[in-house]
Amino acid sequence: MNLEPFFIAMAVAILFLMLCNLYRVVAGPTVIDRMLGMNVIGTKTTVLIVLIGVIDGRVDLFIDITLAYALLNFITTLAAARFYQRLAQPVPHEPRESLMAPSAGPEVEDADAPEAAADQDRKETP
Amino acid sequence: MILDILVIIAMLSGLLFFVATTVGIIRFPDFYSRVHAAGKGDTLSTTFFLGGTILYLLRDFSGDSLLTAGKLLLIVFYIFIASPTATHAIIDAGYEFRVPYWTRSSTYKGTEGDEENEENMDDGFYPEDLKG
Amino acid sequence: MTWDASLLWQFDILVLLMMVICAVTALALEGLLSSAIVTGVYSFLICLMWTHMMAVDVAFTEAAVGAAISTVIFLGTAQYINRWIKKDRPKEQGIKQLTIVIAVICAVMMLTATRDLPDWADPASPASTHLSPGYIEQAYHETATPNVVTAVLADYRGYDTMFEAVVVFAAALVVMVLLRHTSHKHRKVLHLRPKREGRDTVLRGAAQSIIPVMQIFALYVLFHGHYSPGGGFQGGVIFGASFILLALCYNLKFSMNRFREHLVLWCCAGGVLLYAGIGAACLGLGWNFLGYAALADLLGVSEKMARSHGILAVEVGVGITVMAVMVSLYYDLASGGDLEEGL
Repeated sequence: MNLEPFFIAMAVAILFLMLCNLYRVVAGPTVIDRMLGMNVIGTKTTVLIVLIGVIDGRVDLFIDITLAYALLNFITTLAAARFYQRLAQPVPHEPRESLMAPSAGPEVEDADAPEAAADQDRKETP
Repeated sequence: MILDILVIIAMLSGLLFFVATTVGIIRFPDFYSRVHAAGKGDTLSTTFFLGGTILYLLRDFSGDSLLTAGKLLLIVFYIFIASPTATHAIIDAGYEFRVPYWTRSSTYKGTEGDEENEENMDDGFYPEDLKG
Repeated sequence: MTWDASLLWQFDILVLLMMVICAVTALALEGLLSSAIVTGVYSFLICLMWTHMMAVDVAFTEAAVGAAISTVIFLGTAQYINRWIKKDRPKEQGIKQLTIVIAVICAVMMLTATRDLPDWADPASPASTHLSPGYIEQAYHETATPNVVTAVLADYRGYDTMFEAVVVFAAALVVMVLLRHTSHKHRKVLHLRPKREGRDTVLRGAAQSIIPVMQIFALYVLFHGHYSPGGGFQGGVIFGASFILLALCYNLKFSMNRFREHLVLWCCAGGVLLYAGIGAACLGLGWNFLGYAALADLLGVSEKMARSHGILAVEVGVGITVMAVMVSLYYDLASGGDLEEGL
């Protein structure tokens, strides 16, 4: 059975769904939502590279790229998350209050308070 | 022939899970539930797609295709580790930043299916700082 | 298996559409981190495009450099700059409009120029009639390297690649000078993350299983560049990324204890020196600069194999430089230049 048309249809379908996921990257609303979209698109890009290889009949050429891609996409997402996480830290002379679980977490109004501290941190210019 | 059918089944189930992921990422109301959709569905659908490709490669049973299939298996293994870990890191960052979470009472004031109110909800829901 | 490009025109259109959306979004977004992330998505897509065009080596470089390291560097720069941005600063609309005008003019000029380009994969185009057939026919017989791209990169165009390595080296120097020269009054100290007992366990476990495979794979990519896509740049980037992963999952100090800063600097310079030294050795043996055939007597092999070995040695030099430069850039950007504290 010639599965090539099936793989092509599959590649186009994945790409179309990636386009839908791009909505989350473009619209946000927060940075971490964009990171999420980036992670999903990156993972699916590995699949697409393999599928292009299968359609082309040269998977052996593409497989190294895919392995590198899978490993490096992880680093990109991790770096984005970690760098963003660091922005949340207040300056050290302001004691950090203990984190609360989201279920027992602050109301939406209270959630502004640590943000304001982080904001102040950023406003302190030389 | 049986292998072909298995390939098609694996690919289609991968597509099914990816559709579910996409719907979840687009439609879920707050960050935490979106991460939930992405972390599970994305990993599983990738595993299915690559698993289908491995089965397809095993159709012509030779040393080259076995090597490629082995490398693909390695990729599946590492995506299976890396993708949930990356989502874990993302949700950790969001947790530390205290991204507001969705409750029906605190955010959603309109009646169900009220598109206009759903649109307005996003405006004040997230603090400005999270958009940087 | 024959390749019919017209089968996948939907593929091209969707990828290009997504690329345009990403490019416009990256410009329109306010936050720097968001823009950096959207630029990362753009890199993923262009890698896909090159894979589709069968430009395998380019796609590999883009996957390694564009999608991973440059996004990490953008993100590091963005979070570093973010500390100086005042939230209530006046918007500089004039500059933005001027930039848009310049961008539109450039776009129109480039679109006009595309009419002169040959068709995609046109066998009658000048690029594929004059130079390429020569390389494709002779590369294997002259250099014993099946991957033509590697042969062209490191042998026929050895000068280019050497100065590319020098440019990468210069980038590390520039970042070092810019960030470390800031006086203490103007420095915004970046703090270590607070103690988070047990919350990094998942990441550390994942890193412990991924990093060894990554380093072995990097060496494979580096030394297998003669036969498959890959080579010094890609292998070096993947090797450097493993140290970045170590720093991300533990902290900067942990990574710096394993790959110390003075060793990083020695590697930065050493790779370029290895490359130039091989060139100079060829010159000393009475051949042209980077004419690897000169090494034939020294190594006791035929001229053909000497060129193959020369390519390998040069790739190792490039790999060492690129690896060290990536690590150095990350160390500087993540700690704000003082290398004391950081992610």
